[in-house]
Amino acid sequence: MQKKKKNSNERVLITGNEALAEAAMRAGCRFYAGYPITPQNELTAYMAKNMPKRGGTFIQAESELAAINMVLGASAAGARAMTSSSSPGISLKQEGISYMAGCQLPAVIANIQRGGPGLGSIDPSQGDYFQAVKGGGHGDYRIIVLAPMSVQEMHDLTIEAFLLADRYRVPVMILADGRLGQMMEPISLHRGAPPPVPAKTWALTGADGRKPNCIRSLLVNEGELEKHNYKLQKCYGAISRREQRHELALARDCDLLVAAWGTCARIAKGAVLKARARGLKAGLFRPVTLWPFPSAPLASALRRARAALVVEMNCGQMLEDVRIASGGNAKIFFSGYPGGRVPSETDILKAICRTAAEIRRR
Amino acid sequence: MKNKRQVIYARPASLIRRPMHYCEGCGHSLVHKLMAEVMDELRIRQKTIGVAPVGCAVFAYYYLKCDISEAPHGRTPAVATGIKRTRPESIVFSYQGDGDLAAIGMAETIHTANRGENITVIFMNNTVYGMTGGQMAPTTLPGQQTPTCPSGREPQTMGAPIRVCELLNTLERPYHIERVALDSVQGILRTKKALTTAFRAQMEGKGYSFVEILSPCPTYFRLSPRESMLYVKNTLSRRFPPRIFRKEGVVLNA
Amino acid sequence: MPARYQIRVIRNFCKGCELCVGICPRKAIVLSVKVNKSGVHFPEPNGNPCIGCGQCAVICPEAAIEIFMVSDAKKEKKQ
Repeated sequence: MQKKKKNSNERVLITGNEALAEAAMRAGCRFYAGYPITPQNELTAYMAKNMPKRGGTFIQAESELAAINMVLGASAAGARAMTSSSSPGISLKQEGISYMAGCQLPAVIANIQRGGPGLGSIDPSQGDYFQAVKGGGHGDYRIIVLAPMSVQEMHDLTIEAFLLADRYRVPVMILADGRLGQMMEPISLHRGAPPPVPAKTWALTGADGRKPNCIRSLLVNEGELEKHNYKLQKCYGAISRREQRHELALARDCDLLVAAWGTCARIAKGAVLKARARGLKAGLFRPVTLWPFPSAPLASALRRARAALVVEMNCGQMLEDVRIASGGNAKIFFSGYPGGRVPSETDILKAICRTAAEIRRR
Repeated sequence: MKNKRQVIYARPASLIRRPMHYCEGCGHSLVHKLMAEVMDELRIRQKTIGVAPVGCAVFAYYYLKCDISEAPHGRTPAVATGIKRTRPESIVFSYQGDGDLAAIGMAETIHTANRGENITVIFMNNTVYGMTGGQMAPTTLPGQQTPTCPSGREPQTMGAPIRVCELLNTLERPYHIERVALDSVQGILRTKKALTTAFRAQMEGKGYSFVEILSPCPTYFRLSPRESMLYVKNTLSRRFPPRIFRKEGVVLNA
Repeated sequence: MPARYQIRVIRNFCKGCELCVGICPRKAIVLSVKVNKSGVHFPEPNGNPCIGCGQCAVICPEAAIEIFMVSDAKKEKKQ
């Protein structure tokens, strides 16, 4: 972490990966287990160096599987715990995440996405939207998914993540990418106390003066698992009602709504401004929570704009959720950049112009 | 006439008072009983946190009166590591069968031992995968028939049985490594002694303890409970010799 | 008054494995003609003097056998 100047605002010049790690510790995280994988190694290294200094535990686990399960254990014992990885490693963690969802264990998992599928590439991508939002692991569960678009958000959303994880007893994912992870920007570090930790009467702390606690997701007696699933769904309903976050820019008087998340949203913002300068009435919709997906505000914005251009670093994943939200009220176009390609502002501007022309033709 | 009745042996308090689902003559029931006795005698029930495996003993939390967590298959020692590092004052055990410990969880087994985590790992070795129907395990003997080696285990294509104590004994960090056998009253008492040594070592912060327990599975041995114990004594103990491999951090030769 | 030992069997926990019957050095345990809730013949003392060696309790996988020392030879408690 390079500091330009230490001052009362705690402004630092820092990489996204490190900003995320620092935020986790400031949020009260005292357990990190991880495994080296590009492009998030700076996060692991930062934790290795700083966790012990804050009285926490750092473990380089023998595998991604071991890491998520160590987090499961630490969370079961009442700790604020996290792990991080990148796409193929997150695939390995899916079983653990499903178990944690079933057991209602809070934790934070950071996915610094890279190109896929398979071993793919080490360049940034947004290919894991489906994995993060539509399940990833087995069973009927949801995790909260937050999509930062700047190093400041890598920091701020991580503080939020621990708060949300404990509030609802769910795993929370920070879905970033290699560009956000490795770029450096000046940010303000979180100041003040970590978000308060609720009483964890369910945690495994030793059955002293109480009945033993049991952390489990196996419910084989008749009707038990069904009942448990409805309980989880009720929790997810509450999250959907209360925790959706999104950003709208220039969307009121808008003929073409550009919908993007994360790094793409950041680049698209610039393209939208340039399009406006050329007289095209473009606007931007950016979900900050990918789950719960802010469908209602998107739907109203689409009813006004009547056309949307979804821009993603993949072959069309959030695209499907945009289509669902539009309910047929808008024409949906797509510009995709899979396989580790990061679009430039010009790329997106060209796509906006092409789409605008296409709309006029129809 | 006064009727004085003195208890010589009572069901341990740390064993929840309900029938256990295990088959008759199963090693799990015996070891649950022994663990409960040890928790009572060492007075550690209130600070013990266990991790149950995927396998017949997945329901260990129905019987042992301490905090317990489930774990995904094979990840038991990793979950135990997370718990122990978070609550170092707790007594943490990882209780596993053949598949959990020596197949899918082999990496976790080795690396938890290698890091020398101050936990106790209990390995129930009955040479089969009981819960799923008696399939071949990493410890199945050559020639032994199971649904996944119906003609008998052939080492050339299926590998030979793994001796986990010997494997872990090559690592520097473990403190106590012992193999015992549920093959007789003496074997059961030795098992209890091994468990006591292991939990004591953890209480004293000495490091990683590992107890492998050769265990009867009458259902898949297709023998009576009594014959199963004899099979453990006469056949299994020949392939997996019961002895102390590592004591107080020192390797003991055969 | 000579001390006597007694076993007490928690009938409904018994699975009929017969390990206790086989191990008793004084053949003081036999399977009852009665059955428990699971239809299993559970062990019971047969009147041969129990020496309180404890092996039945040790070998019982279900922790279904408890052992007492009684100083009154006349009274006998059944479970």
